Amino acid sequence: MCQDCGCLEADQTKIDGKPLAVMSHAHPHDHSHQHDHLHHMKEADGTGREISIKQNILQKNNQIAQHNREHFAQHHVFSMNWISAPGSGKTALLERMVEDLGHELSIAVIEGDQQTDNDAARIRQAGAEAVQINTGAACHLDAEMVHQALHKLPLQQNSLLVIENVGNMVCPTAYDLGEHLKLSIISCTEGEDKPLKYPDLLLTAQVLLINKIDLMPYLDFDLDQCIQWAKQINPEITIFPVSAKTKEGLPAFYEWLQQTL
Amino acid sequence: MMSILDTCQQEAKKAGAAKVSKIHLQIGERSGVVVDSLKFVFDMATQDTMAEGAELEIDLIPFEGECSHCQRRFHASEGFLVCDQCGNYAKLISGQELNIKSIEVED
Repeated sequence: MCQDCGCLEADQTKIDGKPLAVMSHAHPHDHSHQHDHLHHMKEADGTGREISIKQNILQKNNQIAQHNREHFAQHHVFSMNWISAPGSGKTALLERMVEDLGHELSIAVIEGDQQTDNDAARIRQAGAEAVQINTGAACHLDAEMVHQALHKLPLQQNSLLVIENVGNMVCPTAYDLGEHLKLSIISCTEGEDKPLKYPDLLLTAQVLLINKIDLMPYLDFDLDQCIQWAKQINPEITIFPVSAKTKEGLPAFYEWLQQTL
Repeated sequence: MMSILDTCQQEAKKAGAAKVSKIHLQIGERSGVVVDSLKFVFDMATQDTMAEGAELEIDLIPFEGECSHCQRRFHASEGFLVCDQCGNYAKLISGQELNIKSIEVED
């Protein structure tokens, strides 16, 4: 069950239409992963014994995320986890990015949605490799889903992997997928106070794209105020106002991306 | 919730215990977990497990920042990482914890 919203997980998950297999350690990787647990036992005063655990609640997820991280390092893959509300333009931005950078940079995409493989089909149409995860009832991707998807994805050396999370601004922020960085997206139509209403997204992300700026002449959206609030939530966040439609602002984002890779 | 219970039961079994009598968690104010919801589902989730009837203790860890300018440590109660004295940006110190601290078991 998702700790944040209580939705059911995993048992309904599908990757490219096939049910998710249960994670087993018998998969073919030639690297080991470390599991560090701290256990100290002491006798308590009362009838019970106290056992010190000191373990993150999401430890199991985090261990698989660490495994994914090693996989990325081995293949020299730079990975990003894109998180936003549904309809903010994640897939449209990815299509643009594949069209604009695909000739000089190998890009692969893991798509997360509750249902349909529409988004993976759009990315393939744009010219990149894509795998679709359908989470069924679940509201976010976890490290295990990404781990299974990685086995279906031929990763190129020195490439970029984008994991497009399920459209949701809350639960996905809590799950480490093994990515190098989280990128958040807010679109102008959502209102400038989105950073205030959903601070967890801004707090955990290193980059914010403010999309659909081509619509600003028709909206009351206050871009400066949005940027100011985002910086108050996370002073270190890097912000790019962009338009997937007109490509305005995208060259600056691409330049940052190429310097970051 | 289920991952908390799985871990606690595993640890209790490893220690040769028959029952978990208390689960002690550390939850950050900005961890995304709603403590009331956690308490609400706890009794239902522990039914028919080793932790049935167990006490749930939660330490709520405050969301705190440290000012990049004056180094003041403050409680960011509004959710802003902006110093409440000099107005400069601050860095996150605590508030995203999501830990099982300890359990108490009985034989």
